[in-house]
This record gives sequence, C-alpha cells and structure tokens, in this order.
Amino acid sequence: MIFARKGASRGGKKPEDLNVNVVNMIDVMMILISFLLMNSAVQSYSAFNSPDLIPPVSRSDGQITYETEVAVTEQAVILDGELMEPNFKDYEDKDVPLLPGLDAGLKRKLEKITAQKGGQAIDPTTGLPTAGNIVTIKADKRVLFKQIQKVMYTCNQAGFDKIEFSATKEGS
Amino acid sequence: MSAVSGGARRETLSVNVVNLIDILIILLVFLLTNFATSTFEDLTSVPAGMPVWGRDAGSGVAREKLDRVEVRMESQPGFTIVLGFSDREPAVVRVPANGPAGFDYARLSRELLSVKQSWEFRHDVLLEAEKDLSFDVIVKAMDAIRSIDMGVVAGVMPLFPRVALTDIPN
Repeated sequence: MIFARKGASRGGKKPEDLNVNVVNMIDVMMILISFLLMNSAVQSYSAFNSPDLIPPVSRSDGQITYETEVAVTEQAVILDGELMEPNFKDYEDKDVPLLPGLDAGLKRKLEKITAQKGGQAIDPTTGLPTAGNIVTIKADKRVLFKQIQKVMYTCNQAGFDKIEFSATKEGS
Repeated sequence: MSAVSGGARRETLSVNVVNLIDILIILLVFLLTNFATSTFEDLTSVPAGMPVWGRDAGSGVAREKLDRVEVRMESQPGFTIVLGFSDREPAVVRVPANGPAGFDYARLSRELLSVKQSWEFRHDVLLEAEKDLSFDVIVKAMDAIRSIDMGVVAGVMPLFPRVALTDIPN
C-alpha cells in the first residue's frame, strides 16, 4: 500500500512514498483464522435439523458433546445425520425394546470411536462394551416416552452407557 | 485507485486490498456459520441415565437410612414421591396434577427440597414415568428434580442432579 505524504507535492520537492506494510497484519489474521478453524472443529454442531424436530425447553446449562447424536422424530430415528429407523412410528404399539437398525448403526459407530482412541469396543475381560461412551439424544418434544425409552435402551445395549438429552436453553 | 494531487504533477496512489478482501470473506463465512448454528438453536445438555439396580447411593453417612428416592409421574393423579427406607415402610408424598394445565413442577421441586434438606448427601432419583407421556413433560420433570428456581435473588439451587429414567412397572 503506497500513500503520498500530505503536502509532499508542495514546494517543488519530490514526493515521498509511505509504505504501509500489511504483511504482518495478514500473518496475524491467518493465525486468527486457524484458531477459528480449530474451534469449529472441536465444537461441532448438530448433524440433524428439521422442522419435525422441536427439542423441549430446559433450564439446564450443560455443554453438549455431539460425539454421537441420535435424532428422534415421531416418524424416524437418525444417527449422525443418517437414517436408521425409517418406520419408527410402527414400533409405537409394539413391545420391542431394541431398535435393530439403530443398534447396528451404533455398534459401527462405537467401533469407529474406539479405533480412533486406540482401544477396543468390547472389553476382553468382561465381554461387555467398554465404558465411558456418550450419546446425545435429540428428540422432538412430542415423541412419547415409550419411544424415547426404546432409543435409550438401544443406546445402552450398543455400549453407550452415558446418555444426555439435547434441549433448547430456557430463555433463548 | 488513483488520485490527482495539486499542481501539474499527477501521482498514483495504489492501495492493494485484495488480500484484505480474501480474509474478510473467510471471516464472513465463519460468522455466517456461527449465526446459523448458535442463533437459531441454542441447545443445552440434560444428563439422563438408565436405572442400575442394586447400586450404592454413594453416601457414607451412618445416620442415613434412606434407600431410594423415586418420583412417579402419571397424568392422573400427578407426581408421587416415594422415599424408601431400609428399616421402615416407605413414605409417600403426593403432588397432584395442577388441574387441566398439567403437572405441578414447582410443588414437586419444593417437596424434593425438603427431602434434600433432610438427606443432603442423596444425589440420585429414579423417575418412573407413564409410557404415554410426551418427552416435553419428562424433560420438565427432570428439570424440577435436578434443581429448584428460588427466584431472582437466590437463583437456581441444585437438588438431585442424577436422574435415572424408567417406566412405571405394571
């Protein structure tokens, strides 16, 4: 960026150039951008948004993990944005606690998570899924509790022992 | 960008803003992403659990004889708090439904506050809900169990932060 000094052209002298070096500023901004990128990578957001899914309101102020997200509408169950149970409504009157499609999807996800962490999905000594896996259930507020219970049970059986519900923060 | 300064001589002012525009566009993308995710959907986490039978309550206080705290949630008659003791019959506190408006969450919190004042080391409650209730009322009940709103001055006071969910046994 080159500016002429004010009044430099007067008096017959040759005008001086003022060089404004913006390279450093660009460097700083690049660092800021890398921080923004890291922040967005860590704090990822919900994989499923739909007008069919209106979360309930809660005054709880916990931080959502979003490591594994199960979205539940009255019609379907979606795992990380992928449709798992397209006929979820049909289970409403059935006394079936385990949802097979969701169960298979969650087990695949658990293997992926444990592989990333360098661990094993199944504890070799107990034969049970390793503890400490968290799942976020983002359910529509109109879904019946018996349906939520089936989702919770499936998550638990697939090895996700920590369950959190996603809700809209009160007053937001 | 060019300008003519006084006199016969013509000088050129060149301001290269291309890099700046590049950065501003990237920043704009981040701002838009943030706006789309946080403005429209300010979500919070509500911890929930599955019941684990036979688990120790975690209290080391000898005077405590309270085995379990259960809250039953039915559209009629409303909430029923069951305090199970190891050495005597369970105590039952009823919180009737608040007319057609639904459950009386504020009163449930008040009743649980008195339980909490007597057994401050208790942190877990088993919420037994009717199967046909909506998820919305379940989360409201969980809120009422986990904390009580004491008004503007005192704020929100924690009650029973660990809530396990199950249905009412037949």
